Amino acid sequence: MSADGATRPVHARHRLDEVIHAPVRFSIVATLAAVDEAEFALVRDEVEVSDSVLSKQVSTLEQAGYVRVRKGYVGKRPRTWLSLTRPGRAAYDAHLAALREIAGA
Amino acid sequence: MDTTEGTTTDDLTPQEARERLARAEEARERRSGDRHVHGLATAGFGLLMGAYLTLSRLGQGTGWETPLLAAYAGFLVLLTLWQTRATRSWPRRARAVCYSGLAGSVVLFMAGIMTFNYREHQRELAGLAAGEDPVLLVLAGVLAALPMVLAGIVVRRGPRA
Repeated sequence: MSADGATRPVHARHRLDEVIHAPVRFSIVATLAAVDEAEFALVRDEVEVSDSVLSKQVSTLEQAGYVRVRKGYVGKRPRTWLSLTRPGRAAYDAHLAALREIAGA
Repeated sequence: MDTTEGTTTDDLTPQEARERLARAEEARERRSGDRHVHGLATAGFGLLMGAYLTLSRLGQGTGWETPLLAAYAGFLVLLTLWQTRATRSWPRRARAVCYSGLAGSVVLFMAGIMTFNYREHQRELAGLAAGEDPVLLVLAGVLAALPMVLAGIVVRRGPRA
């Protein structure tokens, strides 16, 4: 609100999601946005990070309620699958909308 | 790749925003390989179901029922293994489309079996020994396969841009 009481439009950068904004987390979420579910190893290869870095960033996204982690097996081999939650997908869409606004500015 | 969390939302330039949008678009386009496998596997499951519906009826009373059932189960397992091992993700909405196709094929498969059983029973009551019309059996097989084949095509093609 300005001094004269008029409401000013909020700049798009204020609508960027702080959790998704970090470069690695943005790449993780962008990869997961294109799928219903992806293997941990696929996301690691796409984002080009180590297992430990991906684990740390996924934990942050999981705590924010943006990513769901599911563990299972393919044959006898353990596998971890990652997917975006509904709030995670909504947050990513809003983040992209803010990016488009900034890019077009 | 930079793994720091250094950038804040306050220092993003329009150029950086465009680069991020381009990266998001690239991530979306990279899943075409998995789409191909899931699409083929889905269509394959449908064709297997349709073929089994037709052939199991054609082979009734010939002693081929058990080998046919074993072959059907074997191909299902092989197709499932290939689909599971050749892919590392389910592209967006592909799973829902596959399951919709599967539901449609299962319903038509069951409807086909019930219809043929009913017609067989009616023929027995009428004292007719003749088997089912092969054209009808093939048609039922094609109908049962159709939902999954269509689902496979939709998955393979992916969302329109």
